[in-house]
Amino acid sequence: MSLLDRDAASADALLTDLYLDALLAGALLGAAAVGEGPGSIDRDLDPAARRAADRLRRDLARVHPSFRFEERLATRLAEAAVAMRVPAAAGAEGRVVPFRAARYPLDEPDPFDDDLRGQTRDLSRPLLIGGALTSAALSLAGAALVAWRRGRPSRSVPSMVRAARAARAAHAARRLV
Amino acid sequence: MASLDAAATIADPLDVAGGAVARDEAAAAWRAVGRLPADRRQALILRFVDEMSTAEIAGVLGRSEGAVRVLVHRALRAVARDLESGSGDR
Repeated sequence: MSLLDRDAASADALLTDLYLDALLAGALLGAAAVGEGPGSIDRDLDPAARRAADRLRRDLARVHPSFRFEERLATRLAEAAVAMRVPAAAGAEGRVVPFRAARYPLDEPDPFDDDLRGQTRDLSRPLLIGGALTSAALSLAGAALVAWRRGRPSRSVPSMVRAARAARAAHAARRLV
Repeated sequence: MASLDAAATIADPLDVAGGAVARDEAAAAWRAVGRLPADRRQALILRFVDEMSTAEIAGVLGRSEGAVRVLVHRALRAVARDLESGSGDR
């Protein structure tokens, strides 16, 4: 194809493009209905391309604008959903992690007990009860230790305390005398 | 505002024969488009069905606007030949 032919093809394509812009914009609907041409574009345009364009404009089902709106809305909603998921995926903020109790199969399940066959024992309740009992035992041991320390003073009493106790004992002895 | 003459072109819903002819012509147009090579077919569908501009089609197809114009122009001429030869009716 020579340069001249290429330019001619580009010019024809440009004319067709301009015609399609006007045709699809609806500017030519009234004129086409009464058989009038759209002016200079129509005169210069390839008649075969013009007829095909008119035929396709009439016969091909077009996408209704409401469908395009719904598609754009769906796209925007999907983008918003992705944007909302990104922080959670990065830091898992606000995600509730369920506590899974350790489970192990029953040691010796009764082979005749259909209800227990294949079941696993839930360790969460014994763990909780054991924890509560240990906490209570530690509290009782602590209270007993404090009571014992208060009732039986240690030998390493500071000198000022010993002096105060001696003064209190002497004062009591004088009052008795 | 459309003229009253233009209103006469609106298909009568009770015109069964006219509706059948319109459906047959639409089917022939679709067949002619379907016989195009893939790139031309895609360009025509984007232009007429999705009513995209040349620049939008160029973005979709990854080609220049000039290349899309030539593609659409050649596709239209091929469809015209197909329809006028009558092979689009088969």
